[in-house]
Amino acid sequence: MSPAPPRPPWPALAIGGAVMGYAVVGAWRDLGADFGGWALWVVGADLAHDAIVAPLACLLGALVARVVPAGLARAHVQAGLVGGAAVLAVVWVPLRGWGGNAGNATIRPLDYTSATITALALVWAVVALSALVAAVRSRRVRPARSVP
Amino acid sequence: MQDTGVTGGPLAARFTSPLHDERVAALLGAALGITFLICFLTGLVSYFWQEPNSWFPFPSRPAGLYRVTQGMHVTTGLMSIPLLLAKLWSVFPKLFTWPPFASVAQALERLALVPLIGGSLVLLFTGLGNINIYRPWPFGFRPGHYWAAWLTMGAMVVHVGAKWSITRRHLRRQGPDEPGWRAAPPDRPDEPGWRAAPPDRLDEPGSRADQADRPDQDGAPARPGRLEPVSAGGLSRRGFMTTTVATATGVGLLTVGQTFEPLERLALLSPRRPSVGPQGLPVNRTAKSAGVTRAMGESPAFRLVVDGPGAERPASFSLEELRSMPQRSARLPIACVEGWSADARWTGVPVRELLALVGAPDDAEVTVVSFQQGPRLGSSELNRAHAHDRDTLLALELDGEPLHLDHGFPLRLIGPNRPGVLQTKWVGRLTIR
Repeated sequence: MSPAPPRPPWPALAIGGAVMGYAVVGAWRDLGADFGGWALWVVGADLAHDAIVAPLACLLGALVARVVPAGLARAHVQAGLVGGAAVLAVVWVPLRGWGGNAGNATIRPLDYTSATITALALVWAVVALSALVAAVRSRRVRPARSVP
Repeated sequence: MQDTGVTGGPLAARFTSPLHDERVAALLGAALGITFLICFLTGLVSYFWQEPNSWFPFPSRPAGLYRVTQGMHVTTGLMSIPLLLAKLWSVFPKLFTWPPFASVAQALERLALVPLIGGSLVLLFTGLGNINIYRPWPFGFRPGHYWAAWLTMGAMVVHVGAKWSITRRHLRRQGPDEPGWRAAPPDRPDEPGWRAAPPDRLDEPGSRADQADRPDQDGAPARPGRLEPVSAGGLSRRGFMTTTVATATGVGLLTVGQTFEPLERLALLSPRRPSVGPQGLPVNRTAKSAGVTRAMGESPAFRLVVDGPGAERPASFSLEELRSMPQRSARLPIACVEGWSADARWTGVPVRELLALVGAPDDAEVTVVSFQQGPRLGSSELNRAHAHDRDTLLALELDGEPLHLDHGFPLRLIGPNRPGVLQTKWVGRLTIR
């Protein structure tokens, strides 16, 4: 028997729509001439994700599936890439030297190339450790299953 | 999809990875909902704290409250980056669902995804840029970030309302029978990426979920129509969610040291270190950028003016006179809106002592005015609670040494439970109301 069709979320649409309306009116009032730029960024961010970031991630995933053998290796390479991508997303601005304040050495005091390499090394060390544990556990489990 | 009335389309069907899965999306969505709600509430605290005439009388105690709320705001926001990207990845095939909607309500709900996704990305990008003093967007950070937060929360209400029953089912760990789990076609029971659920799981949903998610585990005998997703040789659903949560936790650990000093050495990804700066304390605005020189503070002409309609006996004080007054020391954090914070020991004259000297009433409020150049951060307000707190000081010393010029020499405001932007430096006047 197929499940009953869900009820339309009219209350959520009404409340959420009112809050969004409040946000748009507030942004219009506070940002003035900059409102168009703000709205463009909101819509553009969505488009940029759907048209660029997500397809690139799909391509990378397809490449990994083609190059790395299925099983533990592929799973852990994928995990490492997820962790590495997050590190790069967070550190990309200081890594590229964008922003900051040349007259204030207390902002971004680190060598972010070294910091990034260290953080990525940490990610892959955790992934390698996890792969090692999984491999050992899988060796212990498999012989037991072959016993009739 | 059974829950939406939309059946998918040829393009959506090409995404065969079991990671594009309803359960993954629901659980990551729940995690993201929690982090966004924390960010939203702590962000409101910070926003209204900085309003000059806020309707909310912010208390002066506990002294480190703002440090905690703003530290949580920035750290949780950074942790949301991997959560959001993973969540968007898990639902990406739904972009190609065809027909795109089956009812007016669903059309509106899907339309609300534009402000939800766009607003979320703008929030995280502008937040990340702001803590790095990188602001390439064509609008002011504070109003842009604030209204993007309201927009996102409104869209989130719509999304949660539409997905509530699905999320609730997955949070209760219900399994293969729920809507959205794809049943294998009878003629293709061994379709790649899907396998039979273990018999005990079919009878007791969720009882072997941990085992079922392992990519290399053998499944129970096939039972067409009652299949559950497994990995096609890579990360399993469980592995993907574990990786995402571990990554978010890792991002938190590698950044929280900018506000939680015991983890300072781990703060590889954060733009600040709490102990790096003159006198071991970071600086946001330098004296040079504020147009202030040491000579201004050392000049014999320098006097702190205390006046205003609330002062019965307006007065002014030289630096020597201030130094000869009873001093008070307090260990207080300086907590910046950009998420870093650091403890220090400040010594100076309590503001309430100065209020008593000029005959200010017990409910007096104070505007603290800097002699820096330009209006930005040139003054701040002390509400009644802060003006009369024993630890709200006009500090002359930091950790037993005269203030460094970048920390506000000769005189700066420091008080408990205040954003750093309201701890006015280079103070020249108190106006009492």
